[in-house]
Amino acid sequence: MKTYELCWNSAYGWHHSVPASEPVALVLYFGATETLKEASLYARLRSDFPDAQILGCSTGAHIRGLAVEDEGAIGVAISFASTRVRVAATPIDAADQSFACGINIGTQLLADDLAAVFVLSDGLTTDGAGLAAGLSCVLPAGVPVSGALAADGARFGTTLVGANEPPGTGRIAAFGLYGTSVHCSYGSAGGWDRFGPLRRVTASHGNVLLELDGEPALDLYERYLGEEASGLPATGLHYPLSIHNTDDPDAQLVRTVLGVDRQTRSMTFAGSIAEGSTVQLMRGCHERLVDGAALAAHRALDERVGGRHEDRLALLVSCVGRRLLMGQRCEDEIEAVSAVLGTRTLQIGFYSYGEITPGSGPENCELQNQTMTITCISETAA
Amino acid sequence: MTAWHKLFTRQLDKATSTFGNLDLDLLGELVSATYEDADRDRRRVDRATSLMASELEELVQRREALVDELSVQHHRLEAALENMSQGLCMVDANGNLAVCNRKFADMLRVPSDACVAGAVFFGLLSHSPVFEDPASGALQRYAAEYFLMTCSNRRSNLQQSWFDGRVVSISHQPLPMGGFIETFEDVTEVRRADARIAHMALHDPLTDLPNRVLLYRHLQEALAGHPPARCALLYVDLDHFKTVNDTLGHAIGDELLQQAAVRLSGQIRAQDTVARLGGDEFALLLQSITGHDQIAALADRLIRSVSQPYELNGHEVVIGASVGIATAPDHASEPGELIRFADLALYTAKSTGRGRYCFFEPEMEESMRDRRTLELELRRAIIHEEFELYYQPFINLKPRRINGFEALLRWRSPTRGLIAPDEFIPLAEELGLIVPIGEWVLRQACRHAMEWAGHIRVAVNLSPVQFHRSDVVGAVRRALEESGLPPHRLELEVTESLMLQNTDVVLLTLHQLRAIGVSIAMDDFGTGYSSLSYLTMFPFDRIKIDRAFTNGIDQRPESLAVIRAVTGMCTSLGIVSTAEGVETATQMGLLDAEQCDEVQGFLFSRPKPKCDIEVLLASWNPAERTGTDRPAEKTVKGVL
Repeated sequence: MKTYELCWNSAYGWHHSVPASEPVALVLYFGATETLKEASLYARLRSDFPDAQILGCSTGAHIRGLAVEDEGAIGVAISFASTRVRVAATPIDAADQSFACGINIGTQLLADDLAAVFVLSDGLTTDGAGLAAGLSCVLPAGVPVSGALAADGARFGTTLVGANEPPGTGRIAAFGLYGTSVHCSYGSAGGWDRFGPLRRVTASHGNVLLELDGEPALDLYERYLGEEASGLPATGLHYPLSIHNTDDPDAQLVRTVLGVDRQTRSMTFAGSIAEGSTVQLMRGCHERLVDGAALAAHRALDERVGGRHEDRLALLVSCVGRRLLMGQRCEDEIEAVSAVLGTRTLQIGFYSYGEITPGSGPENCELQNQTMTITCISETAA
Repeated sequence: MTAWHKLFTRQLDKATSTFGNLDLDLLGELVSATYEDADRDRRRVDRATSLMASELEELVQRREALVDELSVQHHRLEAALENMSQGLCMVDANGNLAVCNRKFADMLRVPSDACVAGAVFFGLLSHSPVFEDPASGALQRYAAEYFLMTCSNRRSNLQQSWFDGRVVSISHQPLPMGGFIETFEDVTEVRRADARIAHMALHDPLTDLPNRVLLYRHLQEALAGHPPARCALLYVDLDHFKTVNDTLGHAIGDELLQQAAVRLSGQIRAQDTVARLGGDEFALLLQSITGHDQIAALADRLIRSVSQPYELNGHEVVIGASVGIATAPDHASEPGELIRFADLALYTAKSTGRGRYCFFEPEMEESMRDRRTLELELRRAIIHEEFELYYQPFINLKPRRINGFEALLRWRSPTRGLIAPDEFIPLAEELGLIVPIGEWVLRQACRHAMEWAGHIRVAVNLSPVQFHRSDVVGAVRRALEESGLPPHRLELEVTESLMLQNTDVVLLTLHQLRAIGVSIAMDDFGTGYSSLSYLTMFPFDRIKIDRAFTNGIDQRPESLAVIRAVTGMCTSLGIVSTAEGVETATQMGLLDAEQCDEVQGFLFSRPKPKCDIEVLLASWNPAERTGTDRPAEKTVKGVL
């Protein structure tokens, strides 16, 4: 497997060092929403890599090497020795279609030698938990799924996803890797701290949270955000919710805010929050978030089986909430990841509205928020 | 050189162009932004910490309130548990005692300090004498049944009689989370009360003998065999019990019944049954009888035993007994029929003199049917006024004239024709129908007498039943008022049997009648055993000497002597003497010689209907009534 970094800027377009003869099979690109709207961005990629499967999405910021950039776009071109790539896509209009879309995507990618799936989804319409459930419903056990919900920085305005076409709204796309040579390893960790009392979800509908302990959810957040409440939903990222698992109290399932409705006093989260469940506010501490990123890298590394370092690609998906909290210091977590993975691993990624990570249980994947989720891809020699 | 902060280094890099030029403004912005981020972060932390503290404080208060509430609930639960009438225990899924109340410990006779939460339940039971005999260590015989229930996972109930006689009701309810809850209730008294009620339902409360229901049950069982067992049913009625009850009071009457019950019970075997049917009626069911003689002997013993004197609260009381007997399978094999036949036999025993026993005979049934038919017809006769009055004159001897007429009742039945009084009056008296009949006779006689001359009086017979069961004074008053008959023209004839019961009440009534203005005559004088003494009780206006003396006056010197004595007494007392049954001139002559005031009999006239009386009155010639002796005709005497 060979990987080549791609950089875009408005003046010069895509800049890369991919030989013309390289049989690029897969191109991934991530960038600011406004940047992805430029028609030439996709056109140039298609022109440069006519035979490749091209997928990309808008971000909250993108990760290139050790840097985090808010403007422009980055990408990676991958050629495989023997691994095949297939792409699937489906439109989505509403969150309650998420489960069906997951089934659709999973069905399109099904094959006996399917080794792994990476999914990019619209970040504002999708119920990430539903999407993950739909994928888990179709895909065989043992086929890991990772991915992300596209982002639009702290604006929560428009997210774009594209699969072999210019990126657009209301889409879910994924690529599958086929064959026995490809190896994927994963690591995901947060580092957020739970605080305060446990609260009961007294009213919710899917991924829309209505009430906590009989009080409108928005009231609680406005109280905690104080003067920052005017910045909702972005400022809501400072206080993700941890959903309590009575069977495994140490397990963390985190949900982050995507939107608010001041009329109904409700809040929309990246994934569903079941009525009657117990939740707890979380808050972040810079050092522990950085430690979390390092932990994610260790986890991805530990699961690594075989391969050579120079052929490893690490797709980093972090959460816009971490970006917002860490601010200018968010590169600390990228550096922490790089310190673990090594400088000879090509790191590329972005800040998303939600991370899809292989499940800790029997499911193929689950939605997480506020994590650093790392997908390492490598290929053993035939 | 100072090691700069990593962030500052990065900011310097960002603010430095590729040509190495430092953009101070940009650097300033980046650094300021960092400070602002830090400030915001600190404020956020302060705010969150403060809010969290408030929330935690509120949670603590709520928890304390909950704890207080729980404590109150706990005390209430404890109070409720300790005040339950039942013993209660709750055992957890591990078989350990979770909750129990003191009553539980008391009922199972285990120390209450052993009944602590966590105690092994079956270990506790092994120390209870209720389930394990402390002396032998053996399980009580009912323990296994309880243990089975305790181990089951179904809701169930059990009632047990424990070693010390207590009857305990135990309910077992498995719990959803495992374990169970049981309640123990001492129902000994309830069961005793139930048994008492059940006993009372089948036994007479006064004598504790089986009642009619239980007797019937025993009878059914006795006759249920194939072939039916030989048994006898004896119905026993205490003669003259009513008199004792009325004269000495109900308390004495009850004691009499109890003592009579004991005497009856003393005559039977263990397999036989004595029952009280109600009032003064008893029944005996004799199982496995050998024959007629055996039963007759027992009936005889019963009568003699019951007839022995009773000592009742200082009173010596003597009563008798009448017994009716029916046997199975000779007379009947069906309980209802056997009862009916015993009752018929008893009726016969009572109506043929009392103080005796009678075996059922098929003719009794026919006789009862006839009686019932006669009863129906008699009731109809009252409604349709099928009665008539015949009149027989009583003649004044000196001077010879008709003083009045005795009213004699006849019944002209549409089906039977003219019926004599002795064929229906006894039944009428028994049924109480004599009261409306008697009132009709009074009204009719008074009305008829109004059509006769003013010196003619009418005599009406009164039955003792009318005195004891109706307002005879009111009836006489109404008859006089409706007819307009002057009271002195009405005479009421009573027999001395009237004086046998409630003498004081009877005398009062006689005086009340007298006070109206009517005259009172004693009929059939000389036939009872207290005739003379009754004369001292009440100033009768007339004495009617019974026909038995008139009949023999010319043949038996004793009859003449009696008549002489009676007429002499009447003269001394100023009482009119009337001789009944005069059929010959010789008899009349002797009576005249003995200063008898009045005579009555076939010699002068048979009883005649009213229409014939006018003719008689119009054609009356005293001389024609003294003629030759005529053969006596049987007098049909009517009452009232």
